[in-house]
Amino acid sequence: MSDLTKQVEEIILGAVPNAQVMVRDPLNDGTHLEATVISESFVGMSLVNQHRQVMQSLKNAFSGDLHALALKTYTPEKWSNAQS
Amino acid sequence: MTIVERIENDINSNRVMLYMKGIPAAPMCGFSDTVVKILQQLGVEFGSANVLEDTELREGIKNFSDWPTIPQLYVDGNFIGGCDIVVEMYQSGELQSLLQARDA
Repeated sequence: MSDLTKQVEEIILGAVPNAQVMVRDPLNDGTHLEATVISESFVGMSLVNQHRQVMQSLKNAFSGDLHALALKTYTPEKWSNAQS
Repeated sequence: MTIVERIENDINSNRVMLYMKGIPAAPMCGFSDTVVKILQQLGVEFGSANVLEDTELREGIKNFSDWPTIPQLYVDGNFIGGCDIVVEMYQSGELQSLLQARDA
């Protein structure tokens, strides 16, 4: 796992309470990452606000090495439905 | 006119407004291209602004929406989201119903 991937994971963990976070670097280029974030705290939140909470926590990373983050956010329930 | 006034003027005079890298005919980033393709596929008229040619706008829009990346889509003056959200709403049909809501 690249430094940036680890750093992004830690930042999101710090920003989203009780979250399960998976960050990947599919192109292995260290700038275009993917993240999946699952948290109870998303319940009742609109999709854009779920994403905003994650994206804003990465504001500095975006002005640094992080060029793009393909993001998926789930409540635990939506995640389990997605798995079935 | 301040940058905020400019943005408010944009999003209130264009029912659908896209802040992007490049122009609809020549997007300069894959994410902007994806949103342009979705809007064109839906046959939606939209205003657009090329943030690559306007650094003040490029930073101003991020502060305005509290969202750190481009593209940014606005409908009826409201921030809808970036590429991920537009794609997810398009796939769920939510984007289509949002756009039809005002046409009916």
